[in-house]
Amino acid sequence: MSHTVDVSTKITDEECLVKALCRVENQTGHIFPASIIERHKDPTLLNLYGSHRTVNAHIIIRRPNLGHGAYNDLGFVKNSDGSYTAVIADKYDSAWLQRLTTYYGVEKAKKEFKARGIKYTETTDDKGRVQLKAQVKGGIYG
Amino acid sequence: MGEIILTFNWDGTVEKETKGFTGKSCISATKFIEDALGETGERRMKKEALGVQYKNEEKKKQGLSY
Repeated sequence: MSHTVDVSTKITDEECLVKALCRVENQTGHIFPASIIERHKDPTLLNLYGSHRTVNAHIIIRRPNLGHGAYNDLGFVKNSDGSYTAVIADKYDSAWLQRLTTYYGVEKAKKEFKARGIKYTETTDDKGRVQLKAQVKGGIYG
Repeated sequence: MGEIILTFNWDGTVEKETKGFTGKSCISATKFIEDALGETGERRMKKEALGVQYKNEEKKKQGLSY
């Protein structure tokens, strides 16, 4: 039997989050190099222009690296349940976060396939969406 | 071998489709990917797959095996 199911992606894996940040286009139309992404074991202060809030994050991209018009650092705070909450502002909006989440899902799925020795291919469908196809034991022919 | 096809929508959701499994083995054999990605929505068994299962059951009744 076969089935379909929809899954809402939840960001929980630091390694895959960083890889996703290196794939998604930033507001200048380029991608972030891995070298500018700060990864902190202990939460570190974000620079938020004109804000009285104190926000600490574990994954940070500083505002000079975010392109023209960025007044705030971009960060991700690790929660007690292992998930990450994004601290975004300026041109880094919810639409950008959704694209990042999409790339996170791609990287997380690839990591799971690799961990199980499952071969996969990555393609783009006719709507421009990323597709992963993997062969898994347990089917009719194996 | 069964096949998993993951389609990543730009709103952060993922459509997971399975092909080539018998019975409900498709769920147990591919659940790891749902657990890794996040929260799972409604599961829909495919009509054509139900048809395949029916044909397989008919062949088993007739003494044919895979």
